[in-house]
Order: sequence, then structure tokens, then C-alpha cells
Amino acid sequence: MKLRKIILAGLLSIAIFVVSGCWDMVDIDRRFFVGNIGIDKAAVDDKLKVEFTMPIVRKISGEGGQGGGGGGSTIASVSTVADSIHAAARQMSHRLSRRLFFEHTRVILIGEEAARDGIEGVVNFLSRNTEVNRRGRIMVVKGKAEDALKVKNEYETLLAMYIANIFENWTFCSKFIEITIDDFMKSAYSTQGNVLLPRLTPGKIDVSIGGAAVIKNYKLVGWLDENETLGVNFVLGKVRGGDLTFKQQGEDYPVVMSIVQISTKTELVEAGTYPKFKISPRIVADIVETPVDMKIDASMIKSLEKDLEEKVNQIILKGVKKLQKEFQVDVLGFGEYLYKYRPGIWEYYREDWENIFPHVEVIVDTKATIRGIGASL
Amino acid sequence: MMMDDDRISSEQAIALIVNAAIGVGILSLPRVAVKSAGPDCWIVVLLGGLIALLGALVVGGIIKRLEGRTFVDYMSFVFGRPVGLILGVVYGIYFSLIAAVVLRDFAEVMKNFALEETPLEFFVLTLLLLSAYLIRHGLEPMARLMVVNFPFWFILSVAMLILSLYNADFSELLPFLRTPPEKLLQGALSSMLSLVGFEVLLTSAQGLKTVKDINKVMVVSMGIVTAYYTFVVVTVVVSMGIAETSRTIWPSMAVVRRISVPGEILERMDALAVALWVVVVFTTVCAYYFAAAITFTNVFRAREFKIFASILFPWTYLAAMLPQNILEVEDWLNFAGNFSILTCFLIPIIILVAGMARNKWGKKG
Repeated sequence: MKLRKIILAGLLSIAIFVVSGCWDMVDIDRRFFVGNIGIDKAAVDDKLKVEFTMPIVRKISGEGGQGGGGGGSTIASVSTVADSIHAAARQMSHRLSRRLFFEHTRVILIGEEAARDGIEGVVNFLSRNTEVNRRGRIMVVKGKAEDALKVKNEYETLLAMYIANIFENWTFCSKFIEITIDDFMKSAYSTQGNVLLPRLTPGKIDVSIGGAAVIKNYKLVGWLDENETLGVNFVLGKVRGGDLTFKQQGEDYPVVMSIVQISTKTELVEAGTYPKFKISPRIVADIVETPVDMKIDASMIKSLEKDLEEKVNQIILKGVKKLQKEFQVDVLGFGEYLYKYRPGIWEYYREDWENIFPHVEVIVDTKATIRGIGASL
Repeated sequence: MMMDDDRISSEQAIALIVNAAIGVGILSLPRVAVKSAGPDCWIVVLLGGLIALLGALVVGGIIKRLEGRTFVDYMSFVFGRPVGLILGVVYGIYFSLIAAVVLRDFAEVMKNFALEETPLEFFVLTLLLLSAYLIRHGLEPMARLMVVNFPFWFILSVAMLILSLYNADFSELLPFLRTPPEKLLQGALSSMLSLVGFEVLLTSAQGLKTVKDINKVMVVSMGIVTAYYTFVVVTVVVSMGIAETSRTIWPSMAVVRRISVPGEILERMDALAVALWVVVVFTTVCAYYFAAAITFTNVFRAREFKIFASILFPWTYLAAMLPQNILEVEDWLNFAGNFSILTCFLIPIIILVAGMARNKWGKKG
């Protein structure tokens, strides 16, 4: 009996090692929650300048009598020059009292120059790393990423939330690329690095997200402006809302329409030396603004629908033309469409698709319906 | 020999097979299937299921002929004592090897997704200890646990994967049937390796209450396994895309990590996924560990089964710690898979044919 008790006591004390806690515990006050990662090309050869911003929780909660962010910025930002993103995070451990923690990273910003040099490093970091939140956003900054991270305003306490939440306005404008890190990884892998990323332009106190960065073979090759991006979004069937403005003949004030509903169909019409695609968006729109003296009746609606269709056709063709002629990169999913729905035909084009794509003929056939006209006749 | 009352019903046998078969494949099968067949990955899994069912029916045929003998005794009866014993040892090694590789893969996943600083040894040791504790109680308590466990992880994991369908793109499964037939077949063979698990019943068959329904048991359990795996592969591929699936070591985990229900009520369900993962792996390890122990018991015609559970413990642990990194673990998994072609298909077919011939010949003589 005595022996049994001794053994039992021994077992219980062994249990201390097993049940007393977690090997990996890092308390919440020992972590820095990185909100943004900014990646720039460093002045030194071939290195990256990586910048992390993180909220200072103490300041936000207003502890210690400082009062809601009274004493200086609520966000700390640190930057270092390193060979890679992970190396940069590790170098930070020389300078920071806490561990950098990426689970809550909302935004990854890539500076223009760094993007021109190539973003494979970012793709690889994200695919190997299991910590970064895949629902975050990734975008290319026109200029330097650090400039975007310097932006200070009163709108939101946290810069990362400010930038990430702009994406939720996507349903109102459709003039930027709505993409998460996850979608980005998916398309980067399936197209070998031909993707569109949202473009962010930093200002003094705010940022503007609009347009697109064209990435070809993991390298930034140029930009699309807001309207071209809208056109591309039409082709991709990714427009969820947004306004179209055009002037009627002889009127000073424009007509403004708001897209309510849209579906886009892409089909292959002809497969000659170069394939011919037909893109047919179906749009339902509301009239939001018109010149004051314009009377809206059935025939006017017919004519406005015609104008709207014309306008959408133009926008789409402009975006498509730019991608074909200037960048020669298929981010419109034409190749993917052929591969998936016409595999036999794809066999014929696939070898030389990069050279065929710029010559692909695109016709657009928009059908628009006007539904709401607001509260005025 | 085993305790006489330690017997399982047909339902428990189904639970045993399903729990043994569904294991590490959940995380890696989508990659394996996509690598060999691209968009036709789901066909590959279905084909693999069919092949596995054939193997399962052969095993069922053998089980019907055991007539109260153990599997090792039956092999000795068919081929003579020395060959039977050697084959018994081969099976014993095979079962412990699978248990070891599964344990190691489990530990790698835990380290990557949940507990980064915790040593691999710790995961392997704790789960192995738990399995050893469970199997020492014999077949019936283990099968009972599996019956209780089954709906728990099955329903939760299916529900979780359904949540990941929020941005599914079913056109990822196109083009349909453009894969050359030899690639399909090759893919079917390699996915079949994730679907096997019925072989644990070979050595546990002495504990079956009745062998009357054995074909039904095999068909139902292989049906559940194949349907489940097809579902996993399809959901993973449509929400992640062909290209990324083929480059991710554990695609299903990556899919779970990106779940985001609109409104951000449920997000990043890794913690739940890891918890389910523990349960799923635990049942697989138990099934194989038990099969290994009982096989060695029968080879040595030992009275005491428990002692083999303890003897196997250090060896399984060492085998699990042998690979240096995840790539070597993958090599081991492939090796174990190829081994299972031998143990689940070739040897059972030979035994069945030889057994039939022997019976016929025996009657004539």
C-alpha cells in the first residue's frame, strides 16, 4: 500500500510537466500585433526595406490617465533593411521588447520600385508562413510604401483598419481590384504570376485606393487607371455597383446612372489564327441624376439605355485594349476560359498564348435595362 | 489469446474501418489527387475507392474462411507454418510502420499550425501513450470509442468544409476528363493508399461476433470513406484552385484557415480543425497500433496481449522519430503506401486463391 502511494505521488508530480501549461504560450502583453507590412526597395543593393506598424494598445485604451491617445500616435512603426520579410521580422527582435505577431495583419503594401523588381519573395513568404491572416489585403503603392504608412488622420484609430475598410466600399465603385491575400495567392499560382493588384496612392492625410497594378511574371509592369480598371472588372464579372456618368447631347449637366445588378458572360465566337471573344454584360441600372429639364418617359429611357450600353462598351474596350497593346498580359481570364471550357481549342493556342493574346479580337455587346428613376419624373 | 467476451458487432467493425481509413489523408489527399489528375481529381478518388473496395471484398472473403482461427494461423494452414509466421511478422511490421508514420505526420501538422515551439517528440509521445492506454483494454472498448467518436468529427469536419464553400469556384473542376487514362489510373492507385484501412480487420477478425455480414460491412465502410474523401477533395479544390492545391503540403488545413463567414462571426477555424485532427489521427493510430500488437501476439501464440502493446511502444516511437524533415515523412508515407499494395491487395489475393485451392484439393484428397 505504501509503495502504491509513493508511485502515485511520483506520477502526480510528473503530471506537472504535462498539464501545467503550454509550451508555446506568449502572453498577449508580450506581443506586438502587426497591422501593416510595408515593403520597399532599400537604397542598399538588392535589399528590402521592410516596415511594420502596430497599434500601441496602451494608448488606444487610454490607460494611465493619458486619455484616448492623448500622448502622441497610437501606432508605432519600425523599419529595417533586410534580405527578406522574415529576416526583417527577426532583425526586429534586436530592437523590440516584444514578439511580432502576424495573425492580425490586415494589409501588406508593396512599394512601386520593389514591385518592379519582383514580388516572388512576397508570394513565397505568404505561402510558407502559416501565421499571416489570409483574409488580409495586399496592394501596390504608387510611390513608396513607407509614405502610405506615414499617413495620419482622425478617421480611424488604426491605419490598418482604415486601409482595409476602404475595400468594403467596393460595392459602390468597382474601380479597384477587390482581392484578398488568399485570392491573390490562388491566381498568382494558377497564372504563373500574372495578376492585377489594387493600387494605393498615398496622400498627406489619407490614402486613395483605385485603379490597378498590372503584374506580369511576378513583376510590376504598369498601371491601369480607375476607368480602365472598371472596364476590366466588367470583363471579369466582378462589378458589384458603381456609377457611370455621361453627357446627353446639348446638355450641360451629365446623366448619372448607378449599377444595381450585373452579370457578364464571356464566350468564344470564332477560333481562327486568333480567337475572337464576345463579352456580353447584362446591366440593370438606376438613374441617380439628370439635367433638371430632362423629362423621363418611355422613349427617353430607351435612349438612355442605348447611351449606357455605348458607354459600357467603350469602357470595357479601353481597358481590354490597354492590357493587350501596352502590357500584353492576359489577366482577363481568356486563357483560363479556353482551358476550362474549350480544352480542345486551348491545345492549339497554349504554346504561343503570350503572343496570341495581344491579337485576340474582342467584341462587347452590353444590354442595359433601366429600372429605378428615383423620386422625380 | 484474447478474452472471449472481447467481441465487436458489425456496426462496430464499420466504425473501426472508417476510423482507421480516415486519417492523414484528409490533409494530403487533395494534393495527391490534384498532382496526378488535375481537374479530374474527384474521379481519381472515386476510382481509388472502387479499387479499394475490391481489396476489401477479398479481405472479407478471407475473413469468412477463418472459421475461428486467427489470421496468422490461417496463413500457416494455407502456406505452411514457416511462411505463415514470416507473413505474420510482415503484417506486424506493416501495421506498426503505418502507426508510426501517421503519428509523425500528425506531429508535423501540430507543429506547423498550432504549437510551433513544442518539440515533435512531445506530440508523438503523448498520443502514443494515450493509444497504448486505450488498446490495452482490448478490441471492444476501442471499437466502442470509435463508434462514439465517429459522428463527432464526421459532422463537424463536414460542416467546417461546407463553410469554406463561400467563395467556391466550381469551374476549377473543368475541363472534364482531359486527363490521359494512364494518369487517371496512376492517380487512382496513389489516392487508394489514403483509402485503405480495411486491412486492420484481417487481424482483428477473430473478435467479430459474426462474419455473416462481412461483405456488407466492407461495402458500407468503403462507401462512407470514399464519399467522405471525395467530398474533401472537391471542396478543397473548388475553394483553393488546382495550382495552389498542388503546391500546398496540407491543402485542407489552408482551406480551413481561410474560412470567413460574412459578418466575421466565424473566422479562422484552425483551432477547431486542429482539435478534430487530433481525434481523427488518434483513432487511426489506435486501430493500427492494436492491429500490430494483436498480430505479434498471434505470431508468438502468446497468452497475454497487453505485453505486446508495451513491447511495440518504443519501436513505434523510434520509427516515428526517424525521418529528418517533412519531405522524408512524405517519402515514408509513400513507402508505407506502396507497402499497403502488398498487404492489402497482393498477399490477400494470393491467400484467398491458395486457400480456395487448398480446400478443394483437401476435399479431393
